[in-house]
Amino acid sequence: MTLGMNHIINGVCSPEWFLWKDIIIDTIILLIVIFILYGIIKYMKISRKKEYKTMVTAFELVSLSFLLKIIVNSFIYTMPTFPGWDFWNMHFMHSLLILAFIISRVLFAIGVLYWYKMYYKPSSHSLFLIASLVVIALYFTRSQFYILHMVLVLFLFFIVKKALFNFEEKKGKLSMIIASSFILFFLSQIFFMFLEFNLMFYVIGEIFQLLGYLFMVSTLIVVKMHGKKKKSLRHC
Amino acid sequence: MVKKRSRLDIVSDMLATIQKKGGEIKPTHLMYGANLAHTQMKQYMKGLYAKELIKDIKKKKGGNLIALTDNGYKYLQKLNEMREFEEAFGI
Repeated sequence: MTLGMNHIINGVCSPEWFLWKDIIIDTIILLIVIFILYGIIKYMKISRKKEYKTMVTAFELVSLSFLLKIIVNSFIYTMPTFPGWDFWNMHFMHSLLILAFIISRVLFAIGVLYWYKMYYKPSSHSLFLIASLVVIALYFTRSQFYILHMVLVLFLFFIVKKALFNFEEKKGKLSMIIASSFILFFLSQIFFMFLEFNLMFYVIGEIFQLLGYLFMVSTLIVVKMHGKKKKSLRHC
Repeated sequence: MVKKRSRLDIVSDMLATIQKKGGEIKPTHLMYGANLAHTQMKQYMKGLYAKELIKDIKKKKGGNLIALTDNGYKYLQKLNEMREFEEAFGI
């Protein structure tokens, strides 16, 4: 069994000094994702573009994944202190937490798949093949922890490519920020891949992920502020 | 080839044209400003009146002006936000 899988079974992917701090980071990310989701739903009500539906689904899945991850990690970090639990209770709880952990990863993977769909609009046939790839990756994740992250790196690579192409075309600051946030997600997945070798990679991955979401939410805030400025012009 | 404007693009152009003129505009100026045919404009205006995004104002010398309502300004703001957001994401 690899070190990474041991970490899942022990339930801890984080260095000891980083315990709970990662939950704080994930909670901040969850709040950011919910804020972005709320903004996109508002736009979706105005526009009939299919991309909005895809985007909403992606962010819903990502937010659910973080919610589940927070719950699982909170349980894992407090579990050793549960008084009066016998071996079977602990074993059952552990199995349940591993299942929840894997489900949270599945949700995140499908969320990224929807981001990919938003940019590449694959046919239902190709989407089926891509989804199969994710399922296979998830299966092997049980024994080789890094495989799922490898697949996510692959998807995020193509998403980054598209976001950079968009920046090249528009030359706008906001498109640059969005491209940067996808680059940070891409790098965070690379760091998670190497979690097997050193738990510090988890810390770096978490920080990169947080920065990515902060970049993304800053775009939405700037867009809203621009809108308000334009509105106030009418009183001049 | 120039891309055909969507319904939302046309509404946005109409509201932006009124805003550019200080929030009030003559119907003919709106027609030219938003690049619409007369029947097309009438059709779109019906929807905008129904959603209370625009209203009619009577001029002192006679005749009508079309004005943006508060809802109209808010809607235009949302549309501008949305455009910028779409550009940032490249969707």
